[in-house]
Formats: sequence, structure tokens, C-alpha cells
Amino acid sequence: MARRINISRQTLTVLSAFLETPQGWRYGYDLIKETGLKSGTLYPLLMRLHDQGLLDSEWHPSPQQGRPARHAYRLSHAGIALAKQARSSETPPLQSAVEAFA
Amino acid sequence: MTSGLTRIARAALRVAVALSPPERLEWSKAMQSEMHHASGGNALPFALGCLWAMAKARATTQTAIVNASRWTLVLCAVAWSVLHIRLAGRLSTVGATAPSMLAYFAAAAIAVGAFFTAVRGLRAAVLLAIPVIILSSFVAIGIDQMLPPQAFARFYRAIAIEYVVILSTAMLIAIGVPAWVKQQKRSTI
Repeated sequence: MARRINISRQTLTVLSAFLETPQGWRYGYDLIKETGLKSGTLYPLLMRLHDQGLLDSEWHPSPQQGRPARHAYRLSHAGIALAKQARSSETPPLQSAVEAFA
Repeated sequence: MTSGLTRIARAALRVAVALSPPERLEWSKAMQSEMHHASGGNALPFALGCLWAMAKARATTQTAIVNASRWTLVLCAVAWSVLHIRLAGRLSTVGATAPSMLAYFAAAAIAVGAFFTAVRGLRAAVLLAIPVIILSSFVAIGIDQMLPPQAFARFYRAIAIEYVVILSTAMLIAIGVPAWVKQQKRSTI
């Protein structure tokens, strides 16, 4: 049976931010500044996107000496498809995109 | 002042790392490293948000919710067992020996059920509840055929119906909560 995907307004905001540079890697704090979301909202959202295969993540060494490596994120192919569909329709459920790429 | 706030922020993030469930450890480390890029007064709100996120992650892991359901059922079963002992005591004072003994037996059986649920988990609760629900349903339906007409027949039927309702609710919790958590994780982004 087809399952329903609920997509929140905050998720749409983050997906839109990622879509600005779909292939580019983004950092948590930069996303907070860009979207205006609190860290307590953004990180659980990123974790859920990652759990569902919509977000890729990897560690990048910091260009500034003495600072730790940063966790970077970008949308996976499924994530990009979902984000594009979300932006065009903004009507959940976005079932087909997830099923097509999951 | 700023360095004091930064120290508090760093401490909050250390707590967040300590709180994070194993599957979220990498994320809490990510938050910790990202704090180095939070400027000035933004560090503390950032850290507190991360702490909140990790506390929530810890509280809403499937294991935490399943354990909460399990211990809720255990506590309710213990309370139910105590109520049975109280009922048995009252029945014995009015000379209703057989119903009193039955209530003591039920109290012991419920306590055993609570013990196995505590030790073995929700699966044990379900396995123990099913036969009692079936038996209680038969008693509720067929009590008139099983016993000659007497005052306690209605009492036994009421007790049997109570068992069916309470144990069915317990089974719904034992099966439904973990299934609901799993479904929520899949369907919400």
C-alpha cells in the first residue's frame, strides 16, 4: 500500500535552501543563518532527511587552521527530486518522487 | 562575559554529545564542531538548540518509547494486582470464600504477568494476555450455562468483561506503540 509522506513547512524551507545550489555541500550553521531556523529544529530535520536517503553527508576538513572538521550536507538524487516537486507543487504528499528514487 | 557564555555553550554541547543515542553520535559531534563557527552571542542559543534536539532524539528513539510503554504496562499491572488483593480481602470479610480465592489467584497471575513483562518485554505481555482474553471472553459469554443462577454469576461476568477490556487495551499498547513509532519515522520528513 502506498504510504503517505507528510512534509512540514520547515522541511520545505530547508529543501528550498538546498536547491539554490543542489550539488554544493552545505554546513549546519550556514543553513541556520540562511533559513532562520533554530538549531533545535534544523538538526532533527536534517537527521530525518538523512535517515530517509534524501540527504548525503560527509566530513570536510576546515579550511581554517585549528578548527575541527565540519559535517557537510547536500541533497541526494531522491532529495533533489523531492525538493523540486515540493517547490513546484508545495502539495504533500510527495509520494511518487520518494518511491521513484528510494 | 562572552567567554563565559561560550563556556556554557560548550558545556551544553558536551551534555548533548553525552545524551545522544548511539545512532546519533555522529550528529552530535557535527553540532559540536559547528559550534566553532557560531559567532559571539549566537553560540549559546545554537548550543541550547542542539541540546534540545539531542534530548528529544534520546527520548523519542524507538527503544525509549517501547521501554516507556513496557514500564507503563508493568506499573498498571502492579496497581491492578493490588486492587485485586484489596477486593479479595473485602470479599473474604463478607464470607464470599470462592470469589475471594479467585481474586487472590488473579492478583498473583497479574503480578506474574507484570514480572514477565518487566523482564521479557512487550512480547511477553501480548503472549500472556491472549489466552486470558480468550478465556475471559468465553466466561463472559457462557457464564449462564456454566453456573447455576446465582448472585455471583453477574459478578463473574462483570469481572470477565473487565479483563477483556483491560487486557485488550494493554495489547493495543504493546503492539500499537512500537508499530506507530516505526510508521511515524518512515512517513514524516
